[in-house]
Parts: sequence; structure tokens; C-alpha cells
Amino acid sequence: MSDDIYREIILDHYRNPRNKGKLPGADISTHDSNPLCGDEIDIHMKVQGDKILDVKFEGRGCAISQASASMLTEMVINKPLTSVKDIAKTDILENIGLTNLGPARVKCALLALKVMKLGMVNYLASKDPESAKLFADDSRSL
Amino acid sequence: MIKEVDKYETYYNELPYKFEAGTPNIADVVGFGASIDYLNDVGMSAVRAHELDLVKYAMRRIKDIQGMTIYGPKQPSDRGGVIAFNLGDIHPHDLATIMDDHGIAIRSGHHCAQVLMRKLQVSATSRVSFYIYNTKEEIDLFVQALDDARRLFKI
Repeated sequence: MSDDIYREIILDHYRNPRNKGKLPGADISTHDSNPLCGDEIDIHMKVQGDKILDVKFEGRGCAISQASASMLTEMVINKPLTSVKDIAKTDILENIGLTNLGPARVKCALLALKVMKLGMVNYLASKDPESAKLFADDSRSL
Repeated sequence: MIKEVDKYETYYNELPYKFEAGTPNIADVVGFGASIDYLNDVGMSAVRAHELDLVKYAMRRIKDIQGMTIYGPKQPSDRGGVIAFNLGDIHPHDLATIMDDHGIAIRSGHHCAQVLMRKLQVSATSRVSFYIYNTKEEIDLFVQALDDARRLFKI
């Protein structure tokens, strides 16, 4: 099973993370961690209108959490901010080829998505509290 | 535990009795007694000798593995029956997952010692533990699992 998990794509994103670093002038900066294992992720986004112009992540933790974050940044760049709502758990797991992770490790894979959704909701709430309510349940579901 | 119960009012007993209702934890006390008898029968010096034997053997087997960092005293006799370590840039949680596949349970994480992790400048460590029911053959399997982890992570 380890061979199924630690494939080239995970190791590649772990060792050569995409869009990793700080993002000066970010409109959205959100942090969260998994207290059980200590994985940490920060997501920074620059937004214009509904478009994600740029996104960076910072973090430390296991290969699965960091590779997932790296891959997620590639998924959303130049996409509408509200499209983050439509990214499901299964999208992340399929994208990184981890559809049979145990429950403890699924949390590693989904931490970045959780942080990004939280950032999106807080940002929208600051602009328009009513519309943000539509997304709040979604971000809590992770 | 209550002091008095009326139709519409309840008065609880004073501390600590209010939290000590029900049957005391007799089963655990009896179990604890049996554990003490068991260990006295084995002999605590025999427990220590076996743990030290395993730690010596494991340290010898793993210390020269490429990428291996062992934390704590160099002398096995200065240790308890545990070895905390890191292997290359493999995060301990990833290593624990790989070990699990080999049927080996290790502890991974900050071990509720985040201050020490910061001092060591690592986010986490892996930790293998030995006890009286472990064997050298199991340590050989552990070393094989480390080799597998190095293969997967190309270290």
C-alpha cells in the first residue's frame, strides 16, 4: 500500500513544491494546523473581482499534506474564487492519486483545502456577509 | 453522589464524594495487582537487561544507515527501551504509514514535547520502542522496513 501512496507525483510535489512561499500584498491569508500531527498550512491569495490572480502556500508537515497543498495551488490559480467552493474532498484525493487513504491520513491530504475554503469564506464575509453564509456550511464540512 | 433528593430539588454531596458515585474501579485495581505480580515474577532486572539488549542491537543495526539521525544518548546503557530518530527528509508520519504496512507500530510526531522539537530544530521525530515481548527478529524486520522507506523516498 505504501507504494500506492508514495508515488512519484507525491514525492515530486513534496520535494519541489509549486507556488510555495510568501505573497506580499495578499488579499487573503489563512492559517490552520492539525493539532494531532502538527501539520501546518498557510494559504495566501491575491484576488481581483472573483478571480484568483496568484496563490502561494507555506507550511510544514508530512509529504501528503505538503504535496496536497502544492497541487491545490495549481488547481485554483486563475480560477474564480467562488470555484473553491466546488472543490470536493474527492477532487483532491483523486488529483493526487490517493483514493484509499485511511481516515487519519485523509486529514493530512485535506488540510490545505480546508484552509483555502476558510480563507475564501472569511474574505467573502468581509465583502458581503450575506453571500458568505452560502459558503460557510461547505467550509465546515471538512 | 447525592446528599438529599426532594421531589423538585436535588442536593449533591460535597467534594469529592459528588463525583464518586457508583462502583469504585475495582477491576482495574485487581488488574494492576496482577500486572505487578507478573513483572515481579519476570524480575525487573531481567526486563531492563532484555530492553538494553534490544536497544544495543537496534542502535548497531540502524546507526550507519544513510540519512539516519538518532536523538538522545549515544550509549545504549544511558537509554530506556526507546530510540527516537529521523530518516532523511521523510516526515515521521509518512514513515509511520510505511512501517504500518510492514506490520510495525512506531510512534511519530512531537511526542507532546514541542519545546524539545524546536530545540532539536525538527517538526517531529519517529520513535521505536522495545519491551519484554519484542525480539531481535522483529528489529530485523524494522530495519527492512526502513530500507523500504528509503527506496520509496529515494534516499
